[in-house]
Amino acid sequence: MGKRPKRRRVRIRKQSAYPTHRTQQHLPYPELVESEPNDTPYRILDSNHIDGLISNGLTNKQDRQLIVPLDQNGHVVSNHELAHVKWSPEIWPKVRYHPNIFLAVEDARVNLGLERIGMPMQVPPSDRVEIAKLAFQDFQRGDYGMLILRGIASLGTDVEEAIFEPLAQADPIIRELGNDLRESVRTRLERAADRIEKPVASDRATGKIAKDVAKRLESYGLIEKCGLTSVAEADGCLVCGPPGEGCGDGDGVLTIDDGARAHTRRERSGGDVDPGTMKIVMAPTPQRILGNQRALERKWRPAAEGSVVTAVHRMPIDGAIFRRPIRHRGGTILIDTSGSMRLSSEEIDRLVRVAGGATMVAMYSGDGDEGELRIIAKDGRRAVGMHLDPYGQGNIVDLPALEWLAEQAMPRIWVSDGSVSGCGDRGSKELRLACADVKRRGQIERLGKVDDAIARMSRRGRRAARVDRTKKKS
Amino acid sequence: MAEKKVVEPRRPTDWALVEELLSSEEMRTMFLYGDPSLGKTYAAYHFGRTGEEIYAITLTEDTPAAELRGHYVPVEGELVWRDGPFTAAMRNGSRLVINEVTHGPPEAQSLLYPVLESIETARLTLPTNETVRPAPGFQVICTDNLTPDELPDALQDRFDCTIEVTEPHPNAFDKLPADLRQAARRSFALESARRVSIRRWLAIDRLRGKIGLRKACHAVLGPARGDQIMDALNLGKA
Repeated sequence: MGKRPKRRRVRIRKQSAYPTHRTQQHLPYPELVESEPNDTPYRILDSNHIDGLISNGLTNKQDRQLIVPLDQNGHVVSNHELAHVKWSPEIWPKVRYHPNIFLAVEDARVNLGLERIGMPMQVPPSDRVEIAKLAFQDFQRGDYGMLILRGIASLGTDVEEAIFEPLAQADPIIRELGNDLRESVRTRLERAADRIEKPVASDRATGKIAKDVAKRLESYGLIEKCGLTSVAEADGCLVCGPPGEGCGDGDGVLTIDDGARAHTRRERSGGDVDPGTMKIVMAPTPQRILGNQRALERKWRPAAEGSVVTAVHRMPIDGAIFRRPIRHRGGTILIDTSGSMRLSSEEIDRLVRVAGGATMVAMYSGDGDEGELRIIAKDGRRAVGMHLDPYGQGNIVDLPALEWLAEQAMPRIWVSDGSVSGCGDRGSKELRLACADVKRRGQIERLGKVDDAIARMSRRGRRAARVDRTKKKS
Repeated sequence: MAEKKVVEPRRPTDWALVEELLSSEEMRTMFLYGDPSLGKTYAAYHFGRTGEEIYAITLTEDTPAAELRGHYVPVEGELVWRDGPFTAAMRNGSRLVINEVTHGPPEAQSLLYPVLESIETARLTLPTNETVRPAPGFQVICTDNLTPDELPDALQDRFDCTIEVTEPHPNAFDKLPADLRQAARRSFALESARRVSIRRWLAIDRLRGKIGLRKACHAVLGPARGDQIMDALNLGKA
């Protein structure tokens, strides 16, 4: 919240398959709570997928960035951060005491404000346990200053009791100090809010209260003694829980929301890899694909209405004397034929044979800084022989190849192990993110092995995939 | 051919110009494109020519040209010709609204060539051997989410005006009560993942009278997003 003294290095973890659809539902709307409209939207990042944060909630009004858990349990954290957007100052005031003290009082201010407008912060049970654990660890370390601050930050929430609980076992002087600060901060913040007839106290009153808290803690020697300096660069709200564990690896391709992508770009320290140059080649397709030939050639079906009578003999049977066009079962298959896939031309041949119904089958691979995407089957005709041999041993052109696939007929299938690379067959996080983005936007389905693709192309496989999609939707 | 008007895309959309063009007798063919829920179809149906019959059709990959031009239908053992929307609109000098024109199959798009021609040239010869010429007042408005680049060059060239719609008509927001209007404006300006269309806000407003605002948000946006919007609205008001 506010301007941070130092930015932490963060690392974004892999997400499971289809994260965007799931996380999109939990994206908060800080723009709607601001008093003045702003043309720049907030960048929303999922704290579940960022390593290096000590808290799962963070607001930066200056950079217009919000880091919150984009899951069902993250709603309460989102509300707390939205309250910061609404009520906290844009620029953090310079204070002569430890900034965490101001942060704790600020947290208390927004939590009490949320309580007053009927949106009390109710922490999910799992986070409640974690927060209580942190408080107990503070107590065990003898870090009473931090424990009291954590308690102050939790005022107005349902974890307040759990945080102050370990204090009951502390030295009576510390216990009395903790309870006294708890009561006085709450009372003063509420009175200050009442005075101005607003849900929260003013910035000035909050500053005064924080200053007094700092004085009290200092007079008890709790700031130096209890190592508050160790959390001097705390990132995030003291009352929010620790960051949760990310989802497991889904399909081997890193997929992340737009905001996180932008964030990664900013945080990366060089090492960008450009995708190689891709040429698109149409291989000669002298051979018809057998098996589905008849289905491919059939372009019309009988209809009871139309403009050209083509089957008068059907009049007494079903009245379908006209014809109308048939929509063909199409689709596009893109095969990664880089060395890591270890595909033989026989396997490619088998896939091309099975994929008769697909509108197009293409394969790609590369070498050095360039690669080739070769169309090996189209409109029921296919390439043979040496045209099924891979171009090179590397991936190199995964990104342009996926971009090409994203523009072809649906369904789009990418047969690949999911590893992507650019020039010099080098990979990078940025390239992976870009590929994942194209894959998501282009509704591309990745299948790891040729056998999976063959099974998918069979009638039963298509039906199973349809059922899967329906289940996922529901 | 009438003088071609080239309308540069503007931000924000000049809705007054769109209204003016749609009311003009000189403007015969228009291509309106832009993101969903901006009111392109609404504009095509309601601006200018109010009170007159409007023919409308939405093209899909499977729409046969016969459905657009007209077809024979067996009625009591006889085949009767029935005009499609293209032919009917030409005969009556009405407005023809074609939605999602880029989604149409090539044969449907081919049928558009003679229809979009200038008033002197446009004509359709039907399987009945009758040639239909456009009556005065015939107007074709095509709407789409995709850009005109998706159409063949020759078809693009046949539109008198091509206008990109980038924001809803100001009157669309005015239909919302004050407490939702500002939120609707702001949420509309967000990236696609968080954008809430004016259509959805109008649905929330319609439903909230019966079931309350929170339930309306849940019903229209789903429980998770509905809660996010609801809490942002509450906090915004505080």
